[in-house]
Amino acid sequence: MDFQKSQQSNTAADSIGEILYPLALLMDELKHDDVSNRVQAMQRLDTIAIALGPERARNELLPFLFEVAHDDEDEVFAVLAQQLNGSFIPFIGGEEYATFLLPTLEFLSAIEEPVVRDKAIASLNDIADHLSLTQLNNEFLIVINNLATADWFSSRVSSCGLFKSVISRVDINTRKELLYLYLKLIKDDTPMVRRAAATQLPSIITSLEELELNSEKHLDSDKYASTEPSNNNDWSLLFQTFKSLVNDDQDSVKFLSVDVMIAIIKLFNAVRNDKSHNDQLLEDFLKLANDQSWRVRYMISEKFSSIVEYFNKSDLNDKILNKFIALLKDHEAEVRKSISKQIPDFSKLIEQKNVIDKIIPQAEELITDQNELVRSALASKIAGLAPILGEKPTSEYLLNIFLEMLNDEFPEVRLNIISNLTTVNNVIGINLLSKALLPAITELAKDKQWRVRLAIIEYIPLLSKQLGIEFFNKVLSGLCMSWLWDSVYTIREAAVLNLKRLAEVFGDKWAKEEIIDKILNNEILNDYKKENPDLFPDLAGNGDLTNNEDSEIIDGSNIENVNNSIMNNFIYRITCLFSLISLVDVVEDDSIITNEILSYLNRLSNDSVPNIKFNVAKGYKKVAFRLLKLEKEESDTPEENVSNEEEDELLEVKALKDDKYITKLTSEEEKAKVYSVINEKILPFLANLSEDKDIDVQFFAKKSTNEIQVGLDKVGISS
Amino acid sequence: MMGKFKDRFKTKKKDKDSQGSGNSSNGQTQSNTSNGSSSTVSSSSSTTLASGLKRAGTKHISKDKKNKDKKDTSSSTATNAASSNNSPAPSSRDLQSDDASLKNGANPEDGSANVILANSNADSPAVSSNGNSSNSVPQVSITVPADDKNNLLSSNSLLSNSPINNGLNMNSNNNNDNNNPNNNPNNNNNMPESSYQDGIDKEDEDMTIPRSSHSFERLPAPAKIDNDIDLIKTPKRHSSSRVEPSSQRQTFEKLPSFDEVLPEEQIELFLKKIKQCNIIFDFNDPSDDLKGKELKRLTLQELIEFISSNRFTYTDEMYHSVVEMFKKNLFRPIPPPVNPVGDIYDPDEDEPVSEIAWPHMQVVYEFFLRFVESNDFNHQMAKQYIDHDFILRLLELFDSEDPRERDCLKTTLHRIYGKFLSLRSFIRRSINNVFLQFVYETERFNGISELLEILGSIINGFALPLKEEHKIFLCRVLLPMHKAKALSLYHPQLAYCVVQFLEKDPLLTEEVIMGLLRFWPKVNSPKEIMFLNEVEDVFEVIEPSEFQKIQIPLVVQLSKCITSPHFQISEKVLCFWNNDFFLSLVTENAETILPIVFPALYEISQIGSFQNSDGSDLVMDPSNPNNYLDNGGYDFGYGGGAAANNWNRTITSLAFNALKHFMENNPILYDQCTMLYQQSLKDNEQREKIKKENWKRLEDYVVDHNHTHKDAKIETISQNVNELELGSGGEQKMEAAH
Repeated sequence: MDFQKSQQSNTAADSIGEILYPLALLMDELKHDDVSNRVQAMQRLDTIAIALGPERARNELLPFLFEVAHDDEDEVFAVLAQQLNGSFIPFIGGEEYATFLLPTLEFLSAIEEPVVRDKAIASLNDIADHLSLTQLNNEFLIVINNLATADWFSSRVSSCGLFKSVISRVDINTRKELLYLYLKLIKDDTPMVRRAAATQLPSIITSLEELELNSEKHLDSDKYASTEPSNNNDWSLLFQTFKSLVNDDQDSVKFLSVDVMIAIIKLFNAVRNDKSHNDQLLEDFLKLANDQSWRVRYMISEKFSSIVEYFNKSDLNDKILNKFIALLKDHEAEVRKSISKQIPDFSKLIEQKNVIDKIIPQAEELITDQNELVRSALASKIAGLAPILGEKPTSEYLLNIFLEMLNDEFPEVRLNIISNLTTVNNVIGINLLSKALLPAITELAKDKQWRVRLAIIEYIPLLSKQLGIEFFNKVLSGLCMSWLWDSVYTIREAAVLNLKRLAEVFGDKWAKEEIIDKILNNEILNDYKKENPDLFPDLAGNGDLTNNEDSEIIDGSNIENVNNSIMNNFIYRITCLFSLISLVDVVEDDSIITNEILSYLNRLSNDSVPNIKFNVAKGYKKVAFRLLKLEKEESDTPEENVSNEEEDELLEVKALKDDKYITKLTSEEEKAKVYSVINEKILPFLANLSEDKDIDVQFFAKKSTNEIQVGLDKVGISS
Repeated sequence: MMGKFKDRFKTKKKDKDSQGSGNSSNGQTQSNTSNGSSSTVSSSSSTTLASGLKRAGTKHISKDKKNKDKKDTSSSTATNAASSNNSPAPSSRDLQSDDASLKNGANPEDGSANVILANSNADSPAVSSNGNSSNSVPQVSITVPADDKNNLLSSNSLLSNSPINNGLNMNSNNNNDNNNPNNNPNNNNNMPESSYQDGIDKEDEDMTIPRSSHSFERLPAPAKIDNDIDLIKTPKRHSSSRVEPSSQRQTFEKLPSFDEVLPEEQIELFLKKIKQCNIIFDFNDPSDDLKGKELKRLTLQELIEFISSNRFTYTDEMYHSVVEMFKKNLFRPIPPPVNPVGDIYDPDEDEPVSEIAWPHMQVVYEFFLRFVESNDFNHQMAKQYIDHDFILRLLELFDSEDPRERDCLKTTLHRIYGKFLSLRSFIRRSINNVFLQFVYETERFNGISELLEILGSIINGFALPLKEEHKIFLCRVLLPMHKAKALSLYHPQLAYCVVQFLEKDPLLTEEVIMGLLRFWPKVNSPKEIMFLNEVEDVFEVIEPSEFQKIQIPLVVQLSKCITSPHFQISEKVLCFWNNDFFLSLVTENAETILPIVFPALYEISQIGSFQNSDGSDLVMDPSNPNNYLDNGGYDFGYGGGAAANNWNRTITSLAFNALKHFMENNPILYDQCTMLYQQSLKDNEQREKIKKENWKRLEDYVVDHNHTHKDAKIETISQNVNELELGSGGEQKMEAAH
């Protein structure tokens, strides 16, 4: 049947709209057996709507969609719900017809599957913004009302999400009605509805808050019925809803009241400057913090500081502090974990004396907590105490904690301490820190877990910046070089990136002396060799570094100055290659690139391993672009160059054509110079590589050649 | 005719691992679980027990070990036998064996050595009564392992533990028996109307039957060993305290036993003892107040014995204090899950999790169960204590990761459902909420399968005609349960519930099958197997007239499964053809079914010899081409023969046989289908092409016509189009390019 239809559509011919039968096309696709086809068809809904024109879209498409919404799978519904958002309104004739979308969305909001429902709600809220006040009052409120009073829970759940977009726009009486309706929802029989109502309550409070702020947009009388902020009546209703949440008999509902509490506290204290409710709120807060359910206590711990910040000082230093300490001693590890993350934030709010007398002893207890996640959480935040305490107390009380945690058996704990050292450094200075710190770092750098090593590598540039070049050369440089020969590729990759960042920190001179020259002279391994003589038992034999690359070892005839076989290893050469290529980005002196780096590339361009050769080809392109000073408008993250190579390449050609590159090369003289370098030192080698017997090498060589050509054109040099 | 089919499939069903097989499965699971848990207890306690019984004479050891093994094997075999064929004989043997061991364990003297003696004595009658089923004993008992001390201990703990497990076993057996008359499918056809009445009511009647014949009426006083620190187990991964210990230290005083006081003082003593049990001990520290812990356990045992062996009117205060004690001991927030992120706790994958306070919790559950089951129990009076809140808290406990606790909970809730008519609809609604939360919000809840088991027996008791409420429950709660990722953890129970519904009201078949098709897994093949199993279950109860309503969409899905690259799925569907009832349905409706299923079968079974030997089959018959395409607008997606020639030989031959069946039964139809198939291959290709062209033209049109006034929108549209063409990879590129 469908088949015949589409055939008809092919043969019948008049105006284009007639030929296409857009609706038939859609219907046809929606009958397809495979759900992915139906989803795809749904995604083209706007195309269909445009083809139909606004009137037919309203009269034919929308009723059809309403039917579809009754009989398909959730995947299709989800797309449908998403498509029918505010941006669909123009296709059906503009805002005056926007309410035509409501029935379908209302129906979709009643579906149980949360994905569909959420999309439908998002679309409804979006549409609500486009509706005039009359439409809102006449039609949208009816939708809310229908959903909120429906029999099946899913509709009521959905209705909770719709209040926020109308509550600040309706007049004061309707607002009161809506709040009553909401109160009913929050006391619903089914916990699902209560949970949804609790989750949405903060956003409703926020939109009421906007009204308080009396922003200009509320003066638009087409959209807003009244600029009058909520009165006490409204607030007492809201308090009632909050109360009912706090006293709910199900944990899963009760713990959502914490977010509501934050919203209320913020509104009253920060926006309305009304502290009269704080006593009541404090009582509720303490009650929740004492709750039997760990989920509730966990929620309270998680948000502790942001809840208590508005309470008055005497309470903070007394009741609330005691509660805080009690939570630090909680018997449930999850609670201890989340509360220990709050230590610095909470310490800011209380007197320093209390921090030293009450909180620090408790933190010391937690150092030996039996749960490693608790320790790890503590380690990640404890450094934040340093600026609060100042120099002397930090070295007196905190340093010991740091040192003990640096010796923790769980690597994540040590790592968390190290990653927050900047804060401590600012307070107590580098000397004290480095003495205590270095052993731990060197140990972590050799950790069995490569992820731990990786994490350490990522901190090296930061650390080096703080420690200075001398200190680095003395202690850390050996470490950095040894990572280049790690047995895990990710570590080698990170080590290369690390070198690049170090070069950024220490500048050209350091890069040339410590990296480039050493690579060119095959000295880069020297330090490593000295440190690990056992890895190089026989310098003349097959001292294979990674033990698993035997097959890649080649005879050393290609490389000059080969004096031991580790240099023959493919890994060695490719790591050197990557290091140099990555330096191209950061080295500022062109001569280093044209002399040292290019010569190394040229040397490797007749390597016997294809992988090296095509990486050389890629490297040429990079060098050429660097010399031409072609830069992308948006800065590219360096990782992208390494990780999704192929996609990146496709993009670059596209980006080149799309004028995404700009050059900073201006003078003709420089251009000529660069051109000669490219012409002499790059293109001939690329031409050579393009004729390689390996097709990958050919491919990348040709690609680089093309790209360089395009780059040259862009700069305005033609060959 | 129906009955005949069912008979035939009954035997085949036994092989299936799913418990959805017969109606006996409910009881079967229960007894299996409790049996399993008893063995868990014994084995794990053997490793963690303190060396309290070191001084026991070593000369008993080998004998004891031997006996223990015997007892273990014999009782488990007996239980298995009981559960597998459900006939009264083996289950009575099961009772006997447990009885015997109980009786002997019942009169131990003080002192450990004596107990061991009693123990070994206890086991011999058990062995002799089960002599035929303990063949494996000699092999096991040859070696005397080095850690015989542990064996000794574990055998003790097993004994002291057995009353409870035994009790539960009994319960499930009872349960089973109760359900039996209703369940036997052979009786279904000839059943008088009355048998369809509310099964729970029936159960209520059953419950009033005195149970003096059952073993737990003669519960033993537990072995009194000073150093019996049994069952102290550290949880596998957690160290959080599950039941919070009482804050102030209270000492657990030893009160006189019931025999030692005058009958009129017994009630008062009872209340005192109950009150005493409100003291909660710290099980995180295994060495903490050992004496108190043991005393509490003994007191609870005493209480169990007291209420099961005495009859008296329960006072209001008793209800109050018993329920309070239950709440104090058991109601607690469920600790954080073992796998806080990712998949739900899976008993097959994850290490077992045990409640550390289990030794006490278990006896509390047991006591409460006895209390509720007791003949003196008056639900009118208990109503004020066992209220909505109580039910909700009880349901929350079902999330416990300890399977033993969930098992106790299951029995408890089921009893409450049976006793409290006024709570029934609330319990059902609350369970619904748990399910809905599980499916649509969290996908996490450990007790789903237990709750489904309870529901299985509830559904079984629904009165006919079914209330609208129950139908809604089936369609909007049970069927969406198929969606969840963790389906494998409760699928047998779910399928059982669904089939129960269909047995009650065959008219629901359409809803069920359409629901299954709606939630049919797209990529998850283990789940797909489960769905197919369920479809097979449904076939057992389907009415031919109902089948006709759903045959087209169902067979479309089945033919998709036939071409599945996963051979198990394909095999599963093709094995339907071995099912005579299915075959008869298919043959009757071949006119509709064959055109749908033909391409799938044909492509898979395409072997050279087939065409050669039967070349005549390929003769074109253009008489009725429309028959083929006119199947209610379903698009069968023939996929251009990509799946032709399945790699698996079995599949190929199964498909060939299925096809042969059609060929033999209706050669004319078969020829038509062959012809249509050939034609459709070409048509489909062209149709796809035309469709693509149409879309292209439509898009061109849209872009041209809207360029003037809606530039921005067009851009997004063309981007959408690009995304569609490029797939997800393209999408990324587009994003990155902008």
